Amino acid sequence: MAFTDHCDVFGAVHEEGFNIIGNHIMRQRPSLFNYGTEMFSSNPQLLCKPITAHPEVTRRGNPLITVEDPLPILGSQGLLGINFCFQVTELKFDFYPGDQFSIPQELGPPLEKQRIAIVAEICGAIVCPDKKVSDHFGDEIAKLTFDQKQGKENERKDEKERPPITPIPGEKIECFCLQLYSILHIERIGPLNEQKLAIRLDDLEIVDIRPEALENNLECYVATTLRVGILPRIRIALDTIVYKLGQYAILSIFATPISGTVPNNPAVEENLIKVFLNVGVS
Amino acid sequence: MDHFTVATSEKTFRKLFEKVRDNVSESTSGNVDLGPFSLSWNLGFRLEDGSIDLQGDNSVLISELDVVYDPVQLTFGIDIPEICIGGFCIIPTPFGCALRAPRICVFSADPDISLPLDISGLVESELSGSFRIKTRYFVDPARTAGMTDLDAEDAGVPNKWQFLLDPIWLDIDPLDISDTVGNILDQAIENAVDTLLGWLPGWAKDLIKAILGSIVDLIREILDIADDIDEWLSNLLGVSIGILDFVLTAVAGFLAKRFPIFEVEDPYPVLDYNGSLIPVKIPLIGMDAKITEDEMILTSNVGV
Repeated sequence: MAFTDHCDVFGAVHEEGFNIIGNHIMRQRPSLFNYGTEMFSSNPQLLCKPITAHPEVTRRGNPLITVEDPLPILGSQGLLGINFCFQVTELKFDFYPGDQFSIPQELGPPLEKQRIAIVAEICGAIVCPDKKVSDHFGDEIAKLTFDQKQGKENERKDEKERPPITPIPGEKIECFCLQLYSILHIERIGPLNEQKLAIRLDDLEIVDIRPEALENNLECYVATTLRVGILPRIRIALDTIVYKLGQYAILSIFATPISGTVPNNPAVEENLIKVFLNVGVS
Repeated sequence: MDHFTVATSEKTFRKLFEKVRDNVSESTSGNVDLGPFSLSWNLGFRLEDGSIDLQGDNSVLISELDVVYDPVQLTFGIDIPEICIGGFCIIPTPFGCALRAPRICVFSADPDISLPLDISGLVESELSGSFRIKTRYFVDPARTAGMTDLDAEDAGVPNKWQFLLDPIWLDIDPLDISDTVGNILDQAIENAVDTLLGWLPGWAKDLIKAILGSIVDLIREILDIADDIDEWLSNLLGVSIGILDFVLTAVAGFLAKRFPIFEVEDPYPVLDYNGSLIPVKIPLIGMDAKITEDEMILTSNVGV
């Protein structure tokens, strides 16, 4: 059987290749996978796991991590925060049928048809301040609050004038690492002439967090973030691609319509993501 | 299993071949004056017929692609020096000539003699050949030793995987006897029927042309038998038969090495520059092209 029995052009990417590409992206764009406060940016040796970056990243002065504000401390009027780091240290894809790793029972193995499983290792830590240092900053906040009540300090009228969050210094960094599994599928959405490919999150599981309700809450937060904030950004329009072959021909490349012979396009099967395309020549 | 697979069907290649063939046509015109001689021309060609076939032996066969020379209009001009006689005075008077002999000049035009030749659409050449796709890893000579892959990309001298259309054999008939004779016969029949049998109704003339046309087709086939055998043998043996074809195959092979049909940058950028963030590039290894009877398959793996 030929690859192009039911289409003009066939393309496929194997999961092994996909995972190697993932590793290249992690090495060449480490700031997409590593987040933390300025303290970690200046001292990457403090991160939970060392970043293995491509030599070109440092040679070209690219950041290893994306710098974020400290985690705000509730009640500090947005003035104080805690240093933190957050890293995606491993990422692996498994296309149906699942054979790269085992998915947890909560996700109902085996992997269903046309599904993609992802396992990610996520590590993080906050920089826990010393008790005495915390007490000192607490006293300062109390004093500030008292002054405000007395009307002695009323400069903060506008959010724009809010000073940056000051991290409370600390030295104790206790890293945790979690395994996060998720199951995805690809869906065509929209009217026929304006279809887009959307990635849908079917389910998500964070392993080994207790109590269970905490795990469920965290999973809910991560899943909602993915569904609302991240996955909608990576939709691909199924537009017709027009390619001019000099003055001699114009190629119109478009996705092969769904039919009995091409029930899924793209299709996730045989450890591959397959794409079926038709070509018009004019 | 290869990390990347891209396959293109034979049907797609046929559609593409037919469209490109139908759209390829070039023409030129001009003239040159060499004193007593002149030449003006209006020359052009277009492609007709032919077919493309993917073969199971990892090759592509292009069969009997006709190069039709149309227009082919040449006009030879000869300019003979002007010769005048007469004009002399028959009755001279003190006040001038009272009567002159008539002056007659010949060869006054330029050119004096024009020999137009219009054989547009009558003369054809025919091209057949078999090709394989070769892959080659190309390191730009302008790339210096100290350059990283990113430096090379920035300097416009990245490494590339190149795909070359390497001729196995070529068969070129500079004058396609069968089609040229067939075209002349077609033209003669067309003229004869319209001139001699012009009084017949249109359908009767069409019928006569169709009957005679099929006889001309038979003549074309008979005249083409020798060439068909030549091409069949070339395809079977994988060599060009005939010194001209051999030389042309060698020349085409030389040119093919210099002009790849397409190239892929290596490492291949999957994410472009984002501000100051470097592009993400993936190394491609073992890129290969394979041809089956149904499709052409490109494969590659990703290096770690």
